Amino acid sequence: MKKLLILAAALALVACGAAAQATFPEVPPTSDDVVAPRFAVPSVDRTLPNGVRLVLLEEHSLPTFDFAFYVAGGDAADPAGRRGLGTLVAKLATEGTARRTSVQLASAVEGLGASLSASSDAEWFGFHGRSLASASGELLGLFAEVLSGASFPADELAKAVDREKQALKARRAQPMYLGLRALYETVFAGCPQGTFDLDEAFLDTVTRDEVVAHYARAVQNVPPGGALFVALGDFDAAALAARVETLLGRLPHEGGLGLTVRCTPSTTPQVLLVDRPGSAQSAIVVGRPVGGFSDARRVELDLADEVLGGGPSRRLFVRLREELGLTYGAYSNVQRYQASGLWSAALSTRTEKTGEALSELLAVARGLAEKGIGADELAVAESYSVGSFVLHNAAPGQVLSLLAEALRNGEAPDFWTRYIQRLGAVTPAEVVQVARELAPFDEATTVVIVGDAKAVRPQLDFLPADRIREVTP
Amino acid sequence: MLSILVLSAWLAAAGDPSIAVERLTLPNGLDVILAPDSRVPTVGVALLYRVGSRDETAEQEGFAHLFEHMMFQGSAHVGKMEHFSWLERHGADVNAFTTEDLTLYHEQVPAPQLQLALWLEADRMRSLAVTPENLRNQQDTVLEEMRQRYDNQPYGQARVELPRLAYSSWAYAHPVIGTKERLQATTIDLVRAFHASWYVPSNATLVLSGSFDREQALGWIRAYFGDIPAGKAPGQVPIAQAAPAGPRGATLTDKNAKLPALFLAWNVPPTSAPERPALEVLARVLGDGKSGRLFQRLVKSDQVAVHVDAALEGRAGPDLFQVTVMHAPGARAAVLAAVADELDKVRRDGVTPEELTRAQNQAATELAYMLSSNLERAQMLALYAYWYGDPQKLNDEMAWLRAVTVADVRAAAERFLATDAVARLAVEVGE
Repeated sequence: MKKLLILAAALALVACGAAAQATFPEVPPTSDDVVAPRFAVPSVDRTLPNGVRLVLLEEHSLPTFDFAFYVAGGDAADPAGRRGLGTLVAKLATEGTARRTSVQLASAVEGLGASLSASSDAEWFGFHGRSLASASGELLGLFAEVLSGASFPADELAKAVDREKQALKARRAQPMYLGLRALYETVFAGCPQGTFDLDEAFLDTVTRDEVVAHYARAVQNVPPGGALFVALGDFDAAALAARVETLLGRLPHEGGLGLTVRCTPSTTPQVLLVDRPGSAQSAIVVGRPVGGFSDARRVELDLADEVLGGGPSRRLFVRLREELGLTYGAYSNVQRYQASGLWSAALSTRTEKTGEALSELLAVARGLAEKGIGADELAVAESYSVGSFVLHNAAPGQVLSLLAEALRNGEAPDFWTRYIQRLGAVTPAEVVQVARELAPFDEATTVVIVGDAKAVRPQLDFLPADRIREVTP
Repeated sequence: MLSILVLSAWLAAAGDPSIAVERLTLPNGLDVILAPDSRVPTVGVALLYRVGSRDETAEQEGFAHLFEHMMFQGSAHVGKMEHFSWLERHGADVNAFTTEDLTLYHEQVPAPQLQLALWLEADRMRSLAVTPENLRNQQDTVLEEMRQRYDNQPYGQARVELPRLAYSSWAYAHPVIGTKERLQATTIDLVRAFHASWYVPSNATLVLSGSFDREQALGWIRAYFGDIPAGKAPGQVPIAQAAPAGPRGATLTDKNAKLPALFLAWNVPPTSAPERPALEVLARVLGDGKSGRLFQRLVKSDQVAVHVDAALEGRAGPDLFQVTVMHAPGARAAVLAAVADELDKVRRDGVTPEELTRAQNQAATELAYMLSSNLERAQMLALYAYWYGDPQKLNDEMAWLRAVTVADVRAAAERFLATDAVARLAVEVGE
């Protein structure tokens, strides 16, 4: 087992490398030492009487300030038949307050060199801000102004609706966007996770009254699922806590949101052929439901995903790009929500090779359960997952996002410490077992192909004809 | 606190970068830049070869980018794709990018694996496997990349056509990725000759940034790179850009696009020119964020556009100041008139002190966050060494921007962004 190091020891271990050599060594000089992340305890971690949790982490090595404020709900708080309301509210939240017009607010934020935005995902509505530490006080003041007094001017709503309709047109020109949208809307049909983007029908009917009401109900109110304020940066945690407590402690906590987060995704195999006449390539996306954020077999599945499509030396890339020359790149990933998740893989290939590329992609994915995995291959995936965890989570925004993700899913701040420890202890048999426990690939996977349907359809004769459905984007 | 994950600041009290840099040259000409910082146990490695698409002849079109792929196909002690697998099995990331001016190969490694990264870079510098088999394989891959990034993407062809319209010099006018015809017609002899000319120590800069011991790292660099023959790269020829003869325009039909677009480009001085900070401020005032003048005018006020952007390309030779607008059908004339009007206002009245401060503050924040990554810091040092001949100029970036005055911005707009000097590419929605 590789030796796990803490930060303080890292430099000393660098010294174990070779000294200058007279001839070029024929064998790569590697070290078995692994730098493991170390997670410290937040300076402040407490929950206010109204259910808002404050988690503050002081970090003085950068002159920066990052914060996020999450309210449980997000797209799951959208009223029935009004899919996209939370997303639109997020886009409009920073378009003016009782004191400032849209341009005045934008000038105030950007004049600080800061950013302030809002978003809505399947389970949470969020605000996100960042600035140099010297501007953190003013940025927080602007956030407070938005949270308490976003004004949703009627003209800004009208402009946003027109703008979003045009932007939707532009996004629909992207083949991979169409593929992912179809995948999410199919696998998560009827679930908040299926709100991949806005749609024209909603935009045509949305009113200012429902926007204002939704903000008051789903954002300015702490629901039973709670709310979370997290910040990281060069600040005094006690002083920041006092200020944030004053700001957020006033939020009512009346509840009443009818959330639909726990929704069962579809495991019915389907093949959607999204017609894009004359397309130079086909975008192929495949996906299947998997367990949620805290799933007991999460680590094993994450490693299985890493082995399949985690990078240029993994099975999908090597087979489809390097051996067969079918694509510029083939990757996979896992998107996780609280109660469910989605494993997906994607690539683009030339139209005449669509069938072959899809067949190979499915074969590689099936191969994990059928052919197993070698100890060396798993060791590579484990080493990469552990080692790259530090590399990929170095920036303040990444750190904050990682911590917030664990907390939003009901985990403790040390979740990622335990995750990393488990990553290094999984065996090949456990990974294969997870792959085998999943329903057979052909029986639970949704396939989306965005391409020239007339040219692609004849290449899909290896798939059951009754599963294939042609759709227009 | 995730203390290990938060990288150091390298910022002075005033908020400006203050990176300690050591620079030396090996006897074979390899330029080495060291920026040690022990606060986080990772190292960013950047190896910049001073060769880009500008250095290609017509029959070499696309070669600099082709080598971005060929460099991962193996060398004397490293098998095909093993450059990736050796690094990934030790938790490291690796990639590369090619521009008109340069090619930059980079790794981000946990500190104990720096030796491995250096060995891998040295092995392919000294013994890259430029074989017919690898060439054939990568020709296919690049063609697939071409389809994915240009043939099957909205506005992909516009990205190819705009430089052709904007530059009089072929060196900057042809696409980095090359053309299908040239790529398919090339020979192994041509490819080998290109590699032998340019991918040599005397034409490269190696940057380490992060947690390493200076003496040990230098020992590895000398051991692995020191005996590679220096080579003699042809050297990059300065690019002469003819003065714009007047407005240049073209229209193309894009079957992938769902909205029409306008790509506007003005020829401006190189990145290292003294006028560049004022032009950067101008780009930010026009195009940054929701308070940018063009966003407010085109998107919010006139409501004729969905997306607007203003930016400098960042070329070592004659650069481009670009404005890109994705607009509503039938709104092209209105967009052109509005952009012209906004530029007239800057030429006539300049920008406000508040706009100047906003641009400076935005730049300061972006730089602070960018330099929080060891990899990005290594890349930036390599680029500043290339652009300015001195990596420490990165430390001066904010001082340059803070020295810009309202009058400088107005003068830059007046001098470089004349209405009759623009290259204008209109994209129409095709069937």
